[in-house]
Amino acid sequence: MMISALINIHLKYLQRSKGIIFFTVLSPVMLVLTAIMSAPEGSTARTVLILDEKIIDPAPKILDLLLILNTLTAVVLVCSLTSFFLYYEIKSTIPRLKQIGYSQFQISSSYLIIILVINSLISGIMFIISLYWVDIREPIGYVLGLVLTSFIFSIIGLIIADVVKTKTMGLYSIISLGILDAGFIENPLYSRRFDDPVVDILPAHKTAEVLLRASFDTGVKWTDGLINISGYIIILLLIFYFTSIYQKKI
Amino acid sequence: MSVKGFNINLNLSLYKPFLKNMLRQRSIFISTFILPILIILTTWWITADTIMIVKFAFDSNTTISTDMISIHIITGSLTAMGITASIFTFILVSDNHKLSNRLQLAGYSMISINIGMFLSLILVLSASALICGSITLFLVETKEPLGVIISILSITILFSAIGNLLGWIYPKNNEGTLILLFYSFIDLMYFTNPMGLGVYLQKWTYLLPGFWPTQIALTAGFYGYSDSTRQAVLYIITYVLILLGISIVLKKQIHNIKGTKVL
Repeated sequence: MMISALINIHLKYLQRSKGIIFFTVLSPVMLVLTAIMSAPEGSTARTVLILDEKIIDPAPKILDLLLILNTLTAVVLVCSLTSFFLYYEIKSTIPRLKQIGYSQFQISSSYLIIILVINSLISGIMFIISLYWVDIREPIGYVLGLVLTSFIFSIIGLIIADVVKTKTMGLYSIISLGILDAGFIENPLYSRRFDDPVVDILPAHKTAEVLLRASFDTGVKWTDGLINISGYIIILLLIFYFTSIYQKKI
Repeated sequence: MSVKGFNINLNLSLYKPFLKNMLRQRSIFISTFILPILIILTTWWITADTIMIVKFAFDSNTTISTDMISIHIITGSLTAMGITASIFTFILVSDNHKLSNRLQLAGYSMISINIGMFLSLILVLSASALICGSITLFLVETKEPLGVIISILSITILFSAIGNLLGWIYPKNNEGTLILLFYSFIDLMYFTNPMGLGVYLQKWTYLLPGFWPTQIALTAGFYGYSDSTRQAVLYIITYVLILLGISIVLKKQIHNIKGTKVL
């Protein structure tokens, strides 16, 4: 009951900035359309792709690969920035909420529920857009991969919003992580390190694997990475919970 | 002096208090280095070691094949500075709206406030651009190092002007940041970049703000000096002046419609 009251407060904040709803949908769509326009030789060029030590046969179209990875980047950037702004703008009210009787667990849970709903909506829209251009083998794996990636980056957005002192510092940290991890490192077209063991610890790595396995036949089931992703999410949730406990009192 | 309702008393000294205010918060200043340094170093570490073919707008008959790492480091540094400059300027301009309204009440003209704030932001961002350029030149062997530095500085000023325009006319942090982030990313990573094979060097991309700085950087990096570089610098200066002019005119219009809020 108390959590639903908190969710109402956060929803009212979101309703006040209606423009954000428009741009959270428009921005990722723009990035996906860019992938379609910039794909070489229309939609027919193909590339050699090795995933899970297997050469993908038939070779995937560059357009498909660009679309899948741009969708991932777009979802990551929109979800992490939305959660960062949501938490950064309201975090000064948390000590007051605690004084009127809300526990830290209730406050954190209400944020997470709101963010999970936003992430699912954005991932769902991006999934529908992707379906129009890409023939996805395992649609459930694909949409789950998007939701999990967005959730991981949203929690990172919350943690950064909690830790940083200035808005610009937090923004650049999130954008750097999102662009570098989802936009470059996990992209087999440009990166020579996308299957390097060092990048295993990066937040988008396991979920990008789920997306690619759900899209192309690599010989490995897309569900294989889910345990690792769940572990990653639990660790991030714990970090978020403990950082938010140390909020300064008014 | 007043022209059609515009007070055009230009007081350039206004940049000093803005600059002091920014430098007081060291974390804001340091934040401008995070994105460029991380992007350049990561690009150098991850980019596939393959050969890439590049064409130039200045000389469409010339084709150069070079390693993808060098191209990505140069275009990566341009992208990083574009994103950093646009978002940094946007956030600070939109956060300083009430301050600028108070300055207007104190008698400063809209032009003085806009130019003063823009100059202070450019000074801070130039430090970041120079460091970004130095790291780029350390990692990539270029034919005209000065051209690469000029292109990084020009992209900083140009995207700062875009952030400035949006900050004055649409001062909403969340939406503005998303617009600028995605716009800078799409412009510099796909439309004006050799990476966007399907659209690179198409005529309509010449109008995009990222096009000429990217061409200056690629020409200076892999081709050498070209007479057209000066022409490109002139385009960029014109672009910046037009954006600043639009921001002053639109801000004035918004001010006339909505009035001044100082509290």
